[in-house]
Amino acid sequence: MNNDELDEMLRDAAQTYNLPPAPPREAMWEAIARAREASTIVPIMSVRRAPRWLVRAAGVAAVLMVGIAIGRGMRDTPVVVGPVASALLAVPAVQPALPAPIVSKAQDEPAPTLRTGRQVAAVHPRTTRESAAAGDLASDQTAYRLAVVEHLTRTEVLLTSFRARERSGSEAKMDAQFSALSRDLLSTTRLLLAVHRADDPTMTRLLQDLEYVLMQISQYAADGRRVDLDAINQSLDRRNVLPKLRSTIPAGVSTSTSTES
Amino acid sequence: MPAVHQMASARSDDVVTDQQLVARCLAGDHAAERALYDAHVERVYRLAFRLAGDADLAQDFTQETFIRAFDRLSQYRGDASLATWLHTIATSVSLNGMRSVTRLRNRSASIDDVPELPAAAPRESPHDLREKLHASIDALSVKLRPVFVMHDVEGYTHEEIGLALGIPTGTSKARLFDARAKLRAALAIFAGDRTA
Repeated sequence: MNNDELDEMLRDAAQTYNLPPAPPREAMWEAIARAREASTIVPIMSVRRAPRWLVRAAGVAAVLMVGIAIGRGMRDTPVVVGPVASALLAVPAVQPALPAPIVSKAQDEPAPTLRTGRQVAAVHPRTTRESAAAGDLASDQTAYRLAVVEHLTRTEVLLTSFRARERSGSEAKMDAQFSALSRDLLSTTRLLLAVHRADDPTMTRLLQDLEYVLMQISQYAADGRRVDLDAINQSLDRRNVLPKLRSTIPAGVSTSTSTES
Repeated sequence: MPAVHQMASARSDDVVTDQQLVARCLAGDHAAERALYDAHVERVYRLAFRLAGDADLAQDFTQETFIRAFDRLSQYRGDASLATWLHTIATSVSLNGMRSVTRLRNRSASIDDVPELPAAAPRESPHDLREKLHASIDALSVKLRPVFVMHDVEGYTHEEIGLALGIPTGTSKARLFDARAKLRAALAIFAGDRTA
């Protein structure tokens, strides 16, 4: 038998391979119609918006991620020190509430260029592993510090605005945006407290004070009771929150919205 | 006899009809949807059954093909015939479905399922040729089997196979050549019997 005969035999035999029966047209059409109908009905769950706390948490996480990314980027990229960064990173005596600067060992190096973590390691020889660990630690600290400064600035604006409203007698006009912002800042404060290193008791106390006051403001925003308003004012005064906040925020960070005299 | 089918891909009047049908479907005409289904369901089901070898699977694949087709009907541009477009979806659905089924079967297969080897190889009879061939087609690789089934069993052209599988026509021809060679090798014992 040659190949042609074998091929012919193959083709003949192949026709019986998985020989299909008549298709169940109606049954399939009904199933298709049902499936298409079901796909056009949007389940209630799918149109529900994400819970507010989840949205807020995502926002907080995004802020922290941006801070970390900036910090990581600074490790490898020389950064020209601006007024904010220099106040934040290089003058710990003026800003006692902030953690120690990441380039404390390189303070005698000429400004304005901030050395990267790798460059600092080159100036102060260590083992490779120590240098890498120091670089990672420095970048994480920087990222955390940037996130804290941004948060404190936003909180100071909110508290100042709150005081201004309260003194102008418009305390009842606590709009939804104000309420949402206070809850957002409360969440961020708690997150910062959760990730905060315990080597800076001043910052920890400040964040705890802010948590307390923001919690009261959130409560007041929800209920609008006068007794809550008094409690907030007492907390702000007794805990000396605004002065501490302002002394902690580095000079140069915009607080132009401050209206309290 | 081979079930050779001519796909409606060459004649322009068919293309116009396809596009009109699609336009009516997109306008929400349920009768047009049913007409589209009736015109193509048999071939789609045949192909699905040939590839799956199981009525339930073929039914699932056919339904999935039409569900996807109706969902994506707005993406049909009329570059190829509606039949070619549908068979491209059907081939994709069937082959992906079979991969899932095969994985599931392999996972659930136990050592007890392996048949015992016969004590002595039985003498092949002409009736065994068919079974042996079917088993050999089943054993073809995932690249060769669809080409062989579509060309030698269902009568698709290499151009249609190329469009459906997303491969060049030459690749389709090469795969068919390889598939036939493997089947010939698997069935060589019958050739020997005949020549003896």
